[in-house]
Amino acid sequence: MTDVLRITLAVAGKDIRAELHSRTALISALVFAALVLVLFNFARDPTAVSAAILGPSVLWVTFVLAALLAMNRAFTIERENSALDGVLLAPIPRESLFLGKLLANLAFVGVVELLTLPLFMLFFNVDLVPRLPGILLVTALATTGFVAVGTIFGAMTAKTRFAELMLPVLLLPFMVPPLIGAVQVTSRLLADRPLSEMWGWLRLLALYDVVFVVLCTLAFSAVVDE
Amino acid sequence: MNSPASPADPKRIIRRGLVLSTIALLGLALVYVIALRYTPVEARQGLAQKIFYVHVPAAWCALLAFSLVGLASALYLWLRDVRLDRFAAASAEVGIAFSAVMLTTGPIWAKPIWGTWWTWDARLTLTLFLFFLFVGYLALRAALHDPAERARFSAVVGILGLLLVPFIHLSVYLFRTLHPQPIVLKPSAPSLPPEMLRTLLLSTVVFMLLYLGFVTARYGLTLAEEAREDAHDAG
Amino acid sequence: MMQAEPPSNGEYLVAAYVASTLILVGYWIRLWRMMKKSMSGRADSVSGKGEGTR
Repeated sequence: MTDVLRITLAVAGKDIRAELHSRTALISALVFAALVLVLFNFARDPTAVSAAILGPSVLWVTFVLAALLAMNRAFTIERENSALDGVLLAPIPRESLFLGKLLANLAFVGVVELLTLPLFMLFFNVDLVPRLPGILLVTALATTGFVAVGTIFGAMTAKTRFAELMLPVLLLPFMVPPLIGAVQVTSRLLADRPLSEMWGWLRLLALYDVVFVVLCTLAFSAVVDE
Repeated sequence: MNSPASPADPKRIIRRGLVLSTIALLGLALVYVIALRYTPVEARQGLAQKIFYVHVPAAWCALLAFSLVGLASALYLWLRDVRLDRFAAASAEVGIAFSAVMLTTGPIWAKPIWGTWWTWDARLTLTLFLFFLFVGYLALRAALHDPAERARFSAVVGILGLLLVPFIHLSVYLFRTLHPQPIVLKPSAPSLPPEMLRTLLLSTVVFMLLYLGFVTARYGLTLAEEAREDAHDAG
Repeated sequence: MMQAEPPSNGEYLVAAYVASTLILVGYWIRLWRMMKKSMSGRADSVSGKGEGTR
């Protein structure tokens, strides 16, 4: 058991270090998220709907798009370097391999999201700071859902010709339940509603995560092994 | 490897499928006649309510097709029997046809009854998702050329998709209870007059036969194509 | 309760039945055409493009 954990962390560490080595990807993803926020600002009529009402939707659509971009990139790099083939030759348990990649992707997307939050607060004049614990919790839960399915689909679509189109087409339906939950919780947080009103949605998010992390971990060997 | 015993095999299967689906299509015509002439008109909804006799079975068949894709996918990953993969692909394609029927009749039904072409109600929304999942499944298959890889990968999508369905259902339901739509008419109320129930049951049987016929034919066509390619490679 | 005249919306019914028939018969025709093509000798596409749902 601890072996699995150790290998998972080793795989994650390797991927994260590779990420940090070239910060281009991270910076590009951040700039992308910022630009999406800008788009949203100009895509609405500010006199019609207040930023506070639209905020959760804007934030989460931005997160969804940024996550899509990030996960697409994660495996195309592997494919270009044929790095994955090398790793597969080693007798690493496939579960560790998946969980390691999951953690690495989670870290990447998480950092992008965290750095986008202050931008969101700035552009839309929404104060998240007093509600930060809740925001962080819901972001962690929903993003885990996105990234779990995104990691396994990313591994599959990396082998196809139109990966950039294929991944969103496959993944977006799976991002809808976490998205619904995240927006519901976020809007209640912004309205300072009591925890009791969010509890159901948080449980749904957590259930989604458990089901899909487990499922994708088990299914990963079907993707990387013959 | 499951190669057919003789080249005639796939053709027999295809023909059987086409014959069965032809019979079912005739059955569909019968359903139309019965719905139009021998089933009472619903007082509040009028004639448009009869769309129900096509819309509901189509939805059920789309869901059935999808569940079978998921089931066959799971069994494939366990047993690695290529027949399961062929079946899953066939079921997915047929599922698109039934989803298309449901997604077309849905708005056509909604407009006169609810005054709006589209409503994000649980059934329509779920079928919309099924449609996207079917398309994604088939698109992935089209993009993968190694048969074993294609079978494995699409099986993963099939299983994950099947497990997504309860989450879609639940979250859309919870989402909608926050935004109650005006309760106009519940067309599929449990207390259905017996004549309507009979017509609905007949239509359901017809649609299931249609599903069976279509899937059989599609399966046979895949077999035929594989046989052709084997001959081509060997030749 | 007074029985009001049911609304006259028959054209929707016709549209729905016609659309469903077109889709289902259309799919049948597609299958039939594929059968014709498979019986008429070799397909030239091995990669399965267009028939890619093998």
